[in-house]
Amino acid sequence: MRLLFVEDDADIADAVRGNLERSGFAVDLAYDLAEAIAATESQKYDLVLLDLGLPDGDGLALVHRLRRRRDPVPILVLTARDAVSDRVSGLESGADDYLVKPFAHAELVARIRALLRRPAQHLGDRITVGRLAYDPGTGTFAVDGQPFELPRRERALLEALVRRAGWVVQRGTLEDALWGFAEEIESNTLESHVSRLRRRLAQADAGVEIRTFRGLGYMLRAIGG
Amino acid sequence: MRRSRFSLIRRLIWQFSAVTLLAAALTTLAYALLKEIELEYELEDLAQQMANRVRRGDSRGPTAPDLELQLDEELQGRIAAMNALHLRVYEAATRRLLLSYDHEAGLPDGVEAIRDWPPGIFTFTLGPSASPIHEFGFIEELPTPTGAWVRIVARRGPPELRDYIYWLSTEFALELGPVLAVVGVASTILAILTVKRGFAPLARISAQAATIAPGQAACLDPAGMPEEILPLVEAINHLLNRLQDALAQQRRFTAVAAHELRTPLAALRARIDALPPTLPQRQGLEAAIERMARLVDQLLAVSRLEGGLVLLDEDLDLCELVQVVAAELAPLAAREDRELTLDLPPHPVVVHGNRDALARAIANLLDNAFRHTPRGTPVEVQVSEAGAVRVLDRGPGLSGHAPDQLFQPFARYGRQHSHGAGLGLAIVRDVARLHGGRVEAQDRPGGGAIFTMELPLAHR
Repeated sequence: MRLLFVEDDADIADAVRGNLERSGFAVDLAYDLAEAIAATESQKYDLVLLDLGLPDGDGLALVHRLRRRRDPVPILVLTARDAVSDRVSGLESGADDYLVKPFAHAELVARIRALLRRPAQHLGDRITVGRLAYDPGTGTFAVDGQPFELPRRERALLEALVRRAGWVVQRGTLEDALWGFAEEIESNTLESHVSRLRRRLAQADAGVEIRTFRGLGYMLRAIGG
Repeated sequence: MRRSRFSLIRRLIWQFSAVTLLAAALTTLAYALLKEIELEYELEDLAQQMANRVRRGDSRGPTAPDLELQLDEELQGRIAAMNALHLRVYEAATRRLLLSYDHEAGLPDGVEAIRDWPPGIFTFTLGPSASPIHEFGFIEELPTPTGAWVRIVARRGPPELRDYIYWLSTEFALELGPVLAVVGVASTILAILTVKRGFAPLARISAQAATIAPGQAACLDPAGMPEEILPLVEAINHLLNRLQDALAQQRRFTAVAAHELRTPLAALRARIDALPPTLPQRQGLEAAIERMARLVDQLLAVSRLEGGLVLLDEDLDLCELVQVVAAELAPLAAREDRELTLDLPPHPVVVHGNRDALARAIANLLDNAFRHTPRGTPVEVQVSEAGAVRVLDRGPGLSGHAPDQLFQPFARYGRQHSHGAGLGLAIVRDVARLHGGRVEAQDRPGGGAIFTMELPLAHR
């Protein structure tokens, strides 16, 4: 995975490159627009990380240039501008995603992986929450390395929750996961599935809890995390 | 300041009416005076004609022959036409009566003029014992072709009201009235049309000005504008330009400030991320960075709000916005072992405004609840169909603080939990005001506080 990081601030460029290299990416640096253009024309990158405020022009000029050349390379804009209008103009000009400074490294890596459209397991990742582990490649769960068997609807529910572990998953999304089985859902179906799932997780001592946010949805998180 | 509003058209109508009436009154007066003058001329002319017709009669005696006055038909007609005329002609030297004409008979002789003022109005005495009367008339001694002089006394009685009424009904109503009416009505209509046409472009640019959003590059179109209004339009355009410049400068400043403040934070954050996860200092560093990042966020939000950069350009569903913001803050609620619940109406609650600003205001209300209440206490968000977002907590309540005071910048209360910059609630207040709404804080029955942001619903 070779990334181009276009950033005029040497301090941030150096620090972020170090982190990305430790996460297994190869990173080239470009300090201004001219260097970035030269780099994209001589080398094929898997992804471009782009700061918008560059000394010799607006980073969006690079986006325009790449898209005019029909270069499909994913572009993740890293910027200090956070207004929605900035985001919209960035995305409209052809950037794929937008991250506002300062950002956590984990968030940056998550966005990069999403843009590379590589299933997580190809990067050697399983999702673990508490003692619960999920393998997206096979769609199976394990607790402390032991396979954790579930009925298919509860497994679908847990999959939806574990993919957004630590964040609220809205009711609608969970209902869609259940609807996938093309069976009629009664009004209390989601609640009853969640409570059954809670019991199973507790019995298996998975070290996770499902929190209810009434009016919003559910969140899977490690107990005490 | 006294507010004086007036309608140009109403003002024109009454001014024109007043001028027309005044003109009618003055003309009536002038005509009335002219009428008197005409009568006087006519009398003078009659007297002259009569004097010219005095002849020496056939000599009957040995001395001087008598004077005679014969009136022809034309003169008789003219005398008859002068209503209510009493006429005497004497020989001046002998006071012998040559002619006596009475419209109504019975005027005694010996009429003498005492005074002739105002012109044409004489004061007569009718006999030695009678009191003087004022009458319209004529007394003069004129030479005749015979060489002798005659004295002519004419009285026409006092000018009467019915004379004027008669004159008004004929002269004015039939001749002057129509002209005045036509001129008055026509000039009023013309003036109204001119005003309306002159101000039509003003209505157009008013509509144009109403559509200009703050910060939008725009100027008023001066096409078809009368010269009198043009300077106003140009002054407004000049003002608009300066406003746009100021806004553009503000926008540049905010963008540069955002970049300059966030870039070092990003570098610092990246450095911290490079530290081993087990390092005990890491958590403190991360917290400090987050606090700094929050402060920068809030300062930039204040800068945008105060710089007029926040545009109300969208219809938004408050329920959806509250869900998005609450979902972002849910992980924090989970970490602090809080119950976070949303109580939303089943239908969208639509307001017109700015998504960023409203999302920040809602986040700040939630953030305020999290900061000032102990871990593990519940926080509830309600949206009412009337457009209010309410955040209810079970913390210490307002603890005696005046609600208005809490929304002042840097007014921090319950310091023990507070790591905020003290701008959060002030931003909520400013965002609410910008949207035409208001904020409120009150103690919650059973303990805790209720912070409310009320927004007007969008017009459908």
